[in-house]
Amino acid sequence: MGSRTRLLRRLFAGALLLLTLIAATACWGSSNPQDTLAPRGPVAHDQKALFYPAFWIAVIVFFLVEGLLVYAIIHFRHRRGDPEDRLVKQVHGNTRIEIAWTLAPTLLLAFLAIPTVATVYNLEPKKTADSIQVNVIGHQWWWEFQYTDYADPSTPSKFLTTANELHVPVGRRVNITLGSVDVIHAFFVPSLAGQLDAVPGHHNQMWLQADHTGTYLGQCTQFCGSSHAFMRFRVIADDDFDGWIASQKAPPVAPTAATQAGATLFATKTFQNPGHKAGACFACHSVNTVTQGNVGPNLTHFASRSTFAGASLDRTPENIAKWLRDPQAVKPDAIMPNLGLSDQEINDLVAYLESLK
Amino acid sequence: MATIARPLPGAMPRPSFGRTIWGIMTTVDHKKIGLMYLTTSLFFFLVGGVEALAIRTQLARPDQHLYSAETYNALFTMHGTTMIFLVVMPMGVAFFNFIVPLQIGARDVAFPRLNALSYWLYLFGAILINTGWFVGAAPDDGWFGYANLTTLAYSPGHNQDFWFAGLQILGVASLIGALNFAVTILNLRAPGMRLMRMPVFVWMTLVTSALLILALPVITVALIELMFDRQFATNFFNVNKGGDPVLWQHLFWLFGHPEVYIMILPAMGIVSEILPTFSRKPLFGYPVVVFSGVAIGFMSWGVWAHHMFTTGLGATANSAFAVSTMLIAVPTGVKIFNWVFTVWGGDVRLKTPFYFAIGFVAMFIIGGLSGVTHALVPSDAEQHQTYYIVAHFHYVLFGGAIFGLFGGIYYWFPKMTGRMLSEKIGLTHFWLMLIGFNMTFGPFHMLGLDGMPRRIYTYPTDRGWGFWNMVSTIGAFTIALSILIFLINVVVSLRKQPDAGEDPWDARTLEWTIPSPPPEYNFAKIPVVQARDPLWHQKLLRRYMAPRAETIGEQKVEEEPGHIHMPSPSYYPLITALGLPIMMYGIIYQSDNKGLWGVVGAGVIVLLLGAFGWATEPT
Repeated sequence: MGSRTRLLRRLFAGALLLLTLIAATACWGSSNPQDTLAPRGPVAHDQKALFYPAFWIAVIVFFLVEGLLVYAIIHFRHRRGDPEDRLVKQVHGNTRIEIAWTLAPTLLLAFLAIPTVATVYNLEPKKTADSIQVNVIGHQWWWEFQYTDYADPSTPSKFLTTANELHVPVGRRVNITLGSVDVIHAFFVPSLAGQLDAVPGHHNQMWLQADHTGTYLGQCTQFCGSSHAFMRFRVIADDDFDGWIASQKAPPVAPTAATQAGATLFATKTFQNPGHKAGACFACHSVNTVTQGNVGPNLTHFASRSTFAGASLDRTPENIAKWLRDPQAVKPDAIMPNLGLSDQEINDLVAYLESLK
Repeated sequence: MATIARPLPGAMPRPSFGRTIWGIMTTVDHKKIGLMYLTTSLFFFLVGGVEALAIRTQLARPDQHLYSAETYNALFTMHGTTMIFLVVMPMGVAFFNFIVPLQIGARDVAFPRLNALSYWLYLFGAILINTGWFVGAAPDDGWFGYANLTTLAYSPGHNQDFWFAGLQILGVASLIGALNFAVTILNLRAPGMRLMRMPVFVWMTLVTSALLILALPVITVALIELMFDRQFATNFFNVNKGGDPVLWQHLFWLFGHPEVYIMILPAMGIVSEILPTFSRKPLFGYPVVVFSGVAIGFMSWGVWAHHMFTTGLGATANSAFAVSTMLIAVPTGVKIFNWVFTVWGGDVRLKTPFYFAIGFVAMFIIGGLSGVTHALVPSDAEQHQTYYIVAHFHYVLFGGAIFGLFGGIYYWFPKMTGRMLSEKIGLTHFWLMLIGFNMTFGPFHMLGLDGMPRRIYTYPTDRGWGFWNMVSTIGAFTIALSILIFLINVVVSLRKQPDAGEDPWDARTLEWTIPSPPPEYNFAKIPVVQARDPLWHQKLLRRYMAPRAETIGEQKVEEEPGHIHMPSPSYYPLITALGLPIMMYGIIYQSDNKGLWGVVGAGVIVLLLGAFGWATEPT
């Protein structure tokens, strides 16, 4: 056995070891917030339950076939000293073996197909006694959430509406109808439910349920233009969901002396936005009892959220100021233009927005 | 050397042969065209590779902003578009061109001038689609350009115009080429080369051509709809006027899934040539390999909606396509077993082409297995549009197609140039590329399972995606290094004395019975084929059996090459091809200035002049 063979063997052994390590890492999972294999609700759980049998079958098939391949190469290689024109047996095929290796994968796949189809139908959304309904609407580049079971107190024909942070009750089914006002987006909260597209002109249905209190990170997964990377959101499972609903139904906090300047600016100063109607902040953003603008996120209880701008910025005064100074620097091509605000105006608006608990 | 027909009185004389630029521009020789395809596609492989490196550099660490989101989006769009339409497909065509006529014992393809037209259209389409980079409007809506993001309302610049215009021209190029190869294979086989004696590579070329002929019209319809939406205010994808963006997805993937096999079948054909040659025994289960290739071709029409599992087609459609997708794994798996058992029991010569072929099989297994996990619709909902899918298709298209195509380059380089590529440098290239490849794309599985969506130009630190992204970026530069080594190998080897001879690998098929590089007429005398793997068959008879009086199928008498009539060169394919990009530039810019309809008219005139000259040219 030459040194070259030993080297070859070592290389192959090294490769196998590496692949095993990789496989192991994939199985043991991680504590990443968007881990797809760490389900925290029944939908994600059933989806993961399908992945693992397929994964282990794949691992076995992998080692079997790659092993066979590597063995064949090493065992049947031309060795130094072998006659140059040695004639090996000219095998053309073997019908029995070929039938066997056609049937074997067919059976394996049938074994996977049955639970797959069953799960597809099991995971269809359905109404139950305690389920709630939310319309999720994709915008370039943020998410609108309409709670159709809860009317907006100021305008009963409208639904209670929030943005980018979806509050859901713990342990209850949340049926979601997906829509879009512009291009195709996809709604994806890995730990609660796999993705589904929000297609303009369509109303796709899905559901999710959080079994534990917590904040679950999500993100748009269908490429939707410049700021696709910033179209994030959160799902927050509340123990006290009804309390949250009540707080959201409350009218907006009235301006005080400290926030009056910002409130006035919000309601009165007119801005130009090429391609859109000129108007004040409220032409696009709703603050209940003031206005019903719906181009941008509803801001009635803006300060009750922990993030903004497609959940890509933490809600801090500095970040709000940064956003107001030039939204496009944060989210390229955002519909909100650079409003050309003075530092004083920015401070006033930050104070007002931060008061909207 | 050809006998040039005497021109008709009054007609323009045809250009004569030359090694100059003029010779390249007028050639109709399938071998020269094959080499032109190969070098052009290798050039664009470098372009797409640089785009990939730019992508990986931006993603190496979280919260990086090396360039704008728009630039990043253009980079990944053009990376995908380039690698698919300008690299993998035409590199397959390069081998169709060079090898298929040689393997079936023909002197050229059925329509040599159409063949030149295909190449020029490919080149012009490639240039047109890349024009965007130079005018600051590179396509940036992804390689599958989902409507309605691509419509004027959401992509107002000319970016997507270059995309649809370039793809239309590339589509015409591929369609013409596919018809040419289908006719060539069906009609120009040497006597005795029955269908079931054809080399598997020729079979896979035939299946690929059939897929192209049927698939390209579908994408053409989709692209025309997009062009009309963007340029002439139709509403195919305008939701407010009753259009539907899902229509695009159906049309695109009805083309797009056969397209996947269009990219992989040529590589499968190459591997099916290399493995028997270096194992020195026949392909295990030739009929099964051929029929599974054909079966894959048929089944590829019934799986398109697995690209749309998250579009919301409903439980019934999703279940049906899940099952059909699992089924297509069966013929693919069968091929893998047949390849493994071709090696089994052989006298295996570990040469560079063999390494690449094995690299193909080994990596394709991984891509195939991860593909099966995508067929589990509910589980796929967690992986669709994440890096897990990016890992899957790179294992299939890089680990598969690119490894296979490099195998083809190492295998046929001696036939094409008369010179052997260096084994030592070749093996360095192979191992570096294999390691770099797995380092780059292996981590994508982890990133996808950790929920990282594809096509995001930056990501925050707290998602925990930094580590594997860094590993992947280092891997990408390792691949780049391996490609550099490959280029050095080509340059170094080309400077050597010719050393290949007719049959350096002791191979099996007809192309190895003629000199390297082959003379212009390929075969001095058209061979008569007695068996599958005709050359190997002869060798078996000569070396291992009692020599018989009649040497079977061997050419005893060399016909005088002077009497062989070969098609003459022509400048009309180039002129005809030139008409299309001119028309397309006009259509792209007429929305800015209606006067530019004149440019469209000029393009039409060039096209018609070319076609007229072509039609009246003496044959």
